[in-house]
Amino acid sequence: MSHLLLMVAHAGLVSIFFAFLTRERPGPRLRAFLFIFVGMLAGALALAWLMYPYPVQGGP
Amino acid sequence: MTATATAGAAGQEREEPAATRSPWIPCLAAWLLPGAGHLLLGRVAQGVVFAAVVVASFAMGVSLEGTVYASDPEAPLSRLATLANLGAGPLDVWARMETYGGLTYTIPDSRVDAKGREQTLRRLREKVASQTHAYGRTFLLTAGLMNLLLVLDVFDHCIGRKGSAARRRDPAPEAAGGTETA
Repeated sequence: MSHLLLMVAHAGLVSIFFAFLTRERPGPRLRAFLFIFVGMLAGALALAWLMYPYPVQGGP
Repeated sequence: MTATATAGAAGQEREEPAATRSPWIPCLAAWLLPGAGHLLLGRVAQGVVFAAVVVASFAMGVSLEGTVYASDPEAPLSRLATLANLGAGPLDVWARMETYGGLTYTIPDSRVDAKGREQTLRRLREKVASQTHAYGRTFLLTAGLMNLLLVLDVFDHCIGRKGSAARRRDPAPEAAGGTETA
């Protein structure tokens, strides 16, 4: 699996977990899931974009 | 706060039957088997989902050849990571056998047992050579940390702290008693 797919899978599992942990009803759970899921993906992509000009020294 | 369940208008249980019960057995169950603590408290939907999520995260970690941490006196932060891995309960034993070939929880100090340290690290390096190792390690850490949170959540439910807090944050007139919606 690619890095992106693994990241999506990780974000999905964590989002489901916290949605069920912190909310009691289906509606709020769905909103919490979407909020956490999109937040994790958008945050990771934003960080990746910010780090793009600064490659790891000696990396590929 | 009473420890008993009360009947609602529709004849359903409106109060968690587990309120203010002893937390130790549900917490132990939650640690031993992800989701079991919530199942014991009658929160079936949560228990099933938590079990599926934690086991899926752990399974992905193992399938991606992730390694679990062992406490290394020369790397103090490894103790925290080891604690996170231990959160997965008996699942950690399996991952530890896969990683170290035995129940290794500490890496020997080079000043005390240089040969033992080298043997442990050699075994670890074989696993770390895998390209997917870092992903797998993250999934294993996540599984352990999620299960630790589940133990704490079960504890909060048992002492009656979590249910009322959740109702205040997530109010619903028809579910004012905090009924678990499966």
